[in-house]
Amino acid sequence: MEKQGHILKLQMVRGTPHIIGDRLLTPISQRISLGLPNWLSPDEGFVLINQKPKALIIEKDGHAQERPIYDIQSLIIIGLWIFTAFAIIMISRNRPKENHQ
Amino acid sequence: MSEIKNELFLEAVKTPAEGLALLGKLTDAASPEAVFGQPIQQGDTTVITANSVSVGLGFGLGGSVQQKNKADQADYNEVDGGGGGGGSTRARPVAVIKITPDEVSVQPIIDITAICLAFFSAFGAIFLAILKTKKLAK
Repeated sequence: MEKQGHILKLQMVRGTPHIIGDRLLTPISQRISLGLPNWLSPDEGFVLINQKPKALIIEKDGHAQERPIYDIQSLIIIGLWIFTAFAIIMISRNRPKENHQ
Repeated sequence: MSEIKNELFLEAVKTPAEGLALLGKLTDAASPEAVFGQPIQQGDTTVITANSVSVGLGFGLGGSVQQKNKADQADYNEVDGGGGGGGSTRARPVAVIKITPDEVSVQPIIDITAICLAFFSAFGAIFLAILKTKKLAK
């Protein structure tokens, strides 16, 4: 287990390379960790770790090619959230003003 | 490969070292080996799964020292203490890497149910916002 002395840490992690046929595949993942060891008091703490695939390096005949891996589902959901937030802001801004006499 | 990772377990720890080992079990779930699965070969095609892994855990400790005295004994300190913690791991498939003799392709995995839920929640929120605006306009 890594030492939890940080608050936010972002790192790229290389996975175990695999030789498949005449290719060498090296997976790359992105690790985001949020750790608050002394959150409320010295006796409490929590840590959140998210690790997701980022890319795949394909080496063949001395040539290396990086193939990105996208999390399409998260992109769609985040896009929907942004669209909803934008739509709600626009709707509330276009609200007809009350007449005060 | 067939190891069960989503079991619920309750374990008492007696020493800080045991506690750290238990927390280590959870953080090990977010290792690169958990993100990229072992290659599975079928004929000329090899498949590797790519997962997004999340781990969350927290703990708390507490204690108190009370000075006691009894008539027939010298003063002594009574120490009480305890602690607890919990955590969760979650893994979701993101893509499948398909390797054939001709090419390497990355095919995304999309959970239609999750997309539909997000879609209906989003449009529900927009509908409620429109409804509220119309009510205020009256």
